[in-house]
Amino acid sequence: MAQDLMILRQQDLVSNPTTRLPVCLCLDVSGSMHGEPIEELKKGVGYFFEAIKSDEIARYSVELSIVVFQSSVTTILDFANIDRQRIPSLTASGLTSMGAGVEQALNILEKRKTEYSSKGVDYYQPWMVLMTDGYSTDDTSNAIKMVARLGSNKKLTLFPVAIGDNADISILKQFSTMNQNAVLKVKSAQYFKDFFEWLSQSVAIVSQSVPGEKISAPNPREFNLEIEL
Amino acid sequence: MFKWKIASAYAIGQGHIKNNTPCQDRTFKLIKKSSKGTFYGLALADGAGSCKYSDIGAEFITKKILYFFNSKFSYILNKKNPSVYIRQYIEKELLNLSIKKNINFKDLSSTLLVVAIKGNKVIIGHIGDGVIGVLDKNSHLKTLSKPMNGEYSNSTFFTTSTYYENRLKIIKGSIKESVGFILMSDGTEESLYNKQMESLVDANKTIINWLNTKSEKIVENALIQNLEQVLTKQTYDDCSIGVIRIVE
Repeated sequence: MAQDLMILRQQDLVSNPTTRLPVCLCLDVSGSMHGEPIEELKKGVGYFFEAIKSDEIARYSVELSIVVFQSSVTTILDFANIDRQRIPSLTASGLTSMGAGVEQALNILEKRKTEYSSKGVDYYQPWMVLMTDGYSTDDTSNAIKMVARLGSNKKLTLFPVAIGDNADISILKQFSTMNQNAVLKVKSAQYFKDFFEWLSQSVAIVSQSVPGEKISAPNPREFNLEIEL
Repeated sequence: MFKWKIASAYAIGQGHIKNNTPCQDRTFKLIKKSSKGTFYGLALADGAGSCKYSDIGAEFITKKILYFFNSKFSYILNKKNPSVYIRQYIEKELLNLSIKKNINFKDLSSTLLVVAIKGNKVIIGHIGDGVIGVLDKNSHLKTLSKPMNGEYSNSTFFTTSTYYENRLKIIKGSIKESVGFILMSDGTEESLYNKQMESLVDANKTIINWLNTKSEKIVENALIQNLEQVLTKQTYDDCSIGVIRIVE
């Protein structure tokens, strides 16, 4: 303390951890994503990393995890500060275990929230992004129930994203926590970057929000995204 | 009877500067002498993020609540559970303001932290986030009222959250060992309150004790300087602080 000046110094203050925004990308890497789609998805995820890193607030707030589903489900990136993470490699093959993928994503989000609470770290409502270009090959009913329960209690924001025209919109709508159960649609793999640009701007807005603030994400249509109602 | 000094200040945060929106934190202090003793009151409110007129709501309610506590001090002190009575007063006054100004009731939302003292009695009131601390004569600093947040960082309860009836916490008692109180909004919390330990850092003692040796005006200037030069640099949010201390 600078006594005479009555000015507090940095060492007089507490350094509370930055409020975290956990974001889980739950990605379809089944066989149908092979080729250009998986390559563009990799680029999109890479762009998302860089966009978050370049935002002075989101950089310390957003914590990212990635769950991929094919015949099996794998958490290829666990939650951590984005500065300490490396962009994982994505390989497409196999079936589309979407139900199991979403359940695993929900479990790791719940685990992360428990870790935040035990360490006195404040956090925002978690986000999940579910991206697929096809139809689930496993049972999604339990995952849909879990998401619906969390969504109605305002404990999760889930953005379902259809890749191209062959994704199962009806199932994605059941996962949606957006208004009118909307589904975002990326027209083709070339538009992944636009989607991740929208996502990075949206999480940056949340990471600056204060109590009572209505969160208004940018209009997806301005990012070449379609909205399926 | 004890004599108290009061100082408070608020400052706009980086977020509101960037968005060209007004500071939504407010503080107010009231000292009223009467034949029954002097009333000392300090109130602080943090207007709700995107509520259009929450700065007006915060300014209005910090004043109203202190005049109310002054006029009803004994009644509140002796009433078994005064929370409902006070909450209804807050809601009624905000509703009247919303009608008078033709603005939405919810747009006047804010948190509210109050310390009211008369004689050797104190009444503390708290809605929402922010922290109230107390310093005793042995120089022990204690968190008297913790932030009441929802699960998420950007959620809390406000003066207008009528769905949550238990949102107003009231603490009543005798002064006894206490020599000072400190009130802060969630922006200030970031620098002066350890969230994990739920404890106030020692700098709070220093701030409260400034009032023991310096005038209210000097302390108020120091609070403004600290908010503007130090505390608002640690957060995106507006910051406010209020201190009240016995004059020894």
